[in-house]
Amino acid sequence: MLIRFFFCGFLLLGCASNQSKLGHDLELSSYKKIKWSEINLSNAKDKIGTPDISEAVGNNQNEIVWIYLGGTPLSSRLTLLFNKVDGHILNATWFFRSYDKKADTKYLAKKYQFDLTQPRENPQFFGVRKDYYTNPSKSMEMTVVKKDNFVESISWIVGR
Amino acid sequence: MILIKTKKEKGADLSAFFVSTFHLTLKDHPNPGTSADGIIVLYDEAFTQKYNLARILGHELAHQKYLDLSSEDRMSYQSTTNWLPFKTDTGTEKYYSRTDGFVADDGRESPEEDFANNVEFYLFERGRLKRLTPHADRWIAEHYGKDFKIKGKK
Repeated sequence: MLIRFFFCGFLLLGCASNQSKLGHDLELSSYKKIKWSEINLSNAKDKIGTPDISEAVGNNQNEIVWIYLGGTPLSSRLTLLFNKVDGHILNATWFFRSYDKKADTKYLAKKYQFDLTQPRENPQFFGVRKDYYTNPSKSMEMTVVKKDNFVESISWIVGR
Repeated sequence: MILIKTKKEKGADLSAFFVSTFHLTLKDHPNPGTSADGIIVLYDEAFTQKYNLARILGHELAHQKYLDLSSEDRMSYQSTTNWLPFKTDTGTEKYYSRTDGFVADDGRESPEEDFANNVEFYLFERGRLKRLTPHADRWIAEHYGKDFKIKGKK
């Protein structure tokens, strides 16, 4: 388990001095030319950078999530999910903040070809209500919180 | 069992009104109550001496309060209490979270359950919240103000 960022009790007050600066430097535009299908556990550090948090997850701990922290409030900015066995990437997700100029449903729909006419709703009844929009090839997904139309994230779903 | 529909009128989003009452005891259900967006269900067990009904209702209304938070406030809470989102290969949302500082064990399930527990303890057992999760205590105090308390509670 690699934890570059010292994940102690609380992020903002407890660990501010230990956090990687990398997360703060991340920009969505940096990933325009990334071919996510070519990213794996071996080359991700060179192509993306060292994550703040690396942790085994999944039912059998058979996946590894890399979390790059950034933005205000400090939280996940970019997350990568890998298959622990073969090292292939399964998902890459960019998390927006309310001040991000590009966090606009129509702008992102045009840029990534998300079909705004056919949202998928939350798979379960509980929790915050969200809409999920995909592109024609289903390789990308945009998550929008219904209550305030906040674009929460866009994901590259490589494992689908 | 009592089914409650929560009101969402401006300035009154923690009040509620009863829409139907019927008896149902779920003996295998561990919780005296449950909720989803707009609905609270109180099982018969909630009305036994084993439980504090006001506290159960406070907890379930806190779930509604969490769902009513703006995305910005919800993110602020999650950041303050160390809930870091990521997504699975199917796009399902998961969280990487702190490993300690929970007032109740089921708070480890999700930021929403953690929030409901913390608001419940803020209102009914604040000393424990201050001791175990001081950042959550401060966040609730800053967001809801000094008047956020159970009226009549000594």
